[in-house]
Amino acid sequence: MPLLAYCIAEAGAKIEAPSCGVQGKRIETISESGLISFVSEYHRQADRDQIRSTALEFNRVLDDLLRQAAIAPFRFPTVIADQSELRQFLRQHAREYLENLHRLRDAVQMEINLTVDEPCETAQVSGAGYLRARQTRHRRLADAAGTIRKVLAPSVRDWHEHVSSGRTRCYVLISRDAIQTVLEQLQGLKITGDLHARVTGPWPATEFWTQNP
Amino acid sequence: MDKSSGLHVESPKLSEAPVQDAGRIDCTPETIEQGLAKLVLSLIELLRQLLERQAIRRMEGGSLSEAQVEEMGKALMTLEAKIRELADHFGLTPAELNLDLGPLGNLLE
Repeated sequence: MPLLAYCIAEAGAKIEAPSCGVQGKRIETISESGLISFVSEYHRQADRDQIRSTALEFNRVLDDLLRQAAIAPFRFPTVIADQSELRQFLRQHAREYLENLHRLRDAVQMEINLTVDEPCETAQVSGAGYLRARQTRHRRLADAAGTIRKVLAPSVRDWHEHVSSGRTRCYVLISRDAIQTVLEQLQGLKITGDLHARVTGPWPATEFWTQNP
Repeated sequence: MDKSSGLHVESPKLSEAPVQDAGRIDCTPETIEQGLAKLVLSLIELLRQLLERQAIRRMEGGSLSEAQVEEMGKALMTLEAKIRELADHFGLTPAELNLDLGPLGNLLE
C-alpha cells in the first residue's frame, strides 16, 4: 500500500510520534543515514472535502511533531510507493537534511502577512495618480515591515521578506523559547488605517532552509 | 477617528492553517479553458507587477519625466483592468491568479 510521508527529523531527536495518523492509520518511522521519517499507509482520495479534512489531520500530526523537535515537512500529499523509495531519498539527501536540521534545531519561523487596502477607484483619475498611489502602498508596507522588524529585533535570528503587489510577507526566524515573547510583542503593536497584519506560527523553519549547504 | 488596532495574531497552531489547494492548475477536460486562462493570466500578472515595481523605481530615481510617469501609469492601470476583466470572464478572482510552483513556492510572492 502507498505511504504518506509527513516529515523528516534528526534520528537523535527525542520525538514521540502520535499514535494515529491520517485516515486512522498508525504512524511508522523509517530511520536512515542519521535521519528519521514519519509515514502512514494512505488511500488516495478524489473528493475535495475529504482531501481537505485529511490535509488538516496531516497538519495536526506535523503540529504535534514540531512541538517536540525541528522537522522538515513534506508537502501534502507526498505519497511514496514503499519504504525503500523513502530510504533512497534519505540516503541521497542526508547531508542537506542533517546540516539544516542541526542548524535549525532550536528554531521555528513566524509569518507576518502585511496587506494594504486598494485605493478607491475614483481616486485614480490619472496614470500618474495611479502610479503614485502604488508607490505609497509599497512605502507603507516597507515602513510597517521595518517597524515590526525593529520591535522584534532582540528575538530575531533571521528575517526574509517577499514583496508582491499590495502585500509583504515577512518570515521571522526565532528560537523556540522566544515564541511567547514574540507573540506578546506582536500583539502589543498598533497598526493604522488601511494596513492589515496577520500573524501565524510557529511553523517549521522551511523558509530558512539551505539547498546546498 | 482612531483607526489603530493591534496586530491580528492567530493561535499558534499549525493545524489551523488553511489548506492550500487553490494554487494548482485544474486541467480536467471540463475545466481546461479556465485552467489555461489561469496559467496565462497569472504570468501576465507577474509581468505587470514587475513592470510596476520597475516604474516606481525609475520614478523614485528621477529618470522619468512627468509625461512618462503619466503614460506608464496609464498603461499599467489599463493592463490591470484588462487582467481583472479577463479573470472575471473565466470565473477567476484576483487571488486565484497565482501558481503553485511546488518546492519553489508560489509564482506571485
